[in-house]
Amino acid sequence: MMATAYTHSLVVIAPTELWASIQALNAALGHDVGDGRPLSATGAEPETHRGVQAWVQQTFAHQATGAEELPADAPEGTAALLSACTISADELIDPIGSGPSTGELSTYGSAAGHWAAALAAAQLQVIE
Amino acid sequence: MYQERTGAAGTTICSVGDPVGSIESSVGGYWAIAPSDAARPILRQSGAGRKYLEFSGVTQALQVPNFALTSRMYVGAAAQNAVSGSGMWFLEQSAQAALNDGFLVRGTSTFAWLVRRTLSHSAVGSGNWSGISLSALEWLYTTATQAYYLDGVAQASGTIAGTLVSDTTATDTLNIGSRNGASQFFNGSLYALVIADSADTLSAGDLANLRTWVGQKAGRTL
Repeated sequence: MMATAYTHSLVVIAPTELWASIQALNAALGHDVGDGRPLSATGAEPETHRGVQAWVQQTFAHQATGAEELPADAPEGTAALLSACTISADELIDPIGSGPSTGELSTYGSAAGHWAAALAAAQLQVIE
Repeated sequence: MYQERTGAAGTTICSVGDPVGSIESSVGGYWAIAPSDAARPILRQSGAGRKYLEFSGVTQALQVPNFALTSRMYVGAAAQNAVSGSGMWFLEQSAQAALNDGFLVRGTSTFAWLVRRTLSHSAVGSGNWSGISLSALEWLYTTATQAYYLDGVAQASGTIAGTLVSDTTATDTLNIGSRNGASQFFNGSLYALVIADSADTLSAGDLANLRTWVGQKAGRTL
């Protein structure tokens, strides 16, 4: 089985007014982060934050969480933007794919569990 | 099946663990495309060696643009609900759902098929799609009567009054794993999906073959 490069679940939660900047930063890096999910403390309007969970490569996860330095060619303001967000990463238990690849994560169990834990820590809920 | 969200222009074939940006249907020439990079479901593989798409219930979804339907359809899916939560929509033909039209499967603690606004989308009979079991979900509408099946067992049936919206609406976006690509995202796994239009013209043998295939993907004998 070929190992995947997408070994990390990444959750990014940003104040709503910064989401356009998050989208622009990702676009500059060649990614489309999408619209994310609207969030608030109660799960009702008004929206205060936006968030997303995605599978990313290790370097991307480490740079987003500050575990590695940002690349020299990172867009200006990247560090400040990231510092204004709540970002967490979790790693596949079996990233080399030596057996079944069921997406089990080291800390949160699953991507859905990672997302739920991040929302709980930020005291936010999805506005459906 | 490509990582890129570019349909036929994709170049990076997905391996297990990779995000899936584009999937081509086996027949019909349709492409299911993730609406963003973050929305791409992940190709996984179970301990039994079955490959499936993982939807995390956050933003993962696929959309098939300009999806044409006829009124007589067979829809079969092998899928697993990760939680018995509410508000997850598994299949939806987008614009129709706003009118409670079109078709969908809503993965709540029960599963429900909605075909037309005159039919309730509440629980169908006792057809619970609860817990985490991999199940074969089928909707068969080949005559004026429709029937719903869970793991091959008929759950409910009824007569469709009037005409289906698909009788008068040629094409629309088919959403897989979300409601209109924007909310109520599916948290679970998709092992197989078949949508056959003009199902009333299928031979009994062809229909049986489709049902058998869906059942095999769910580990069931239908």
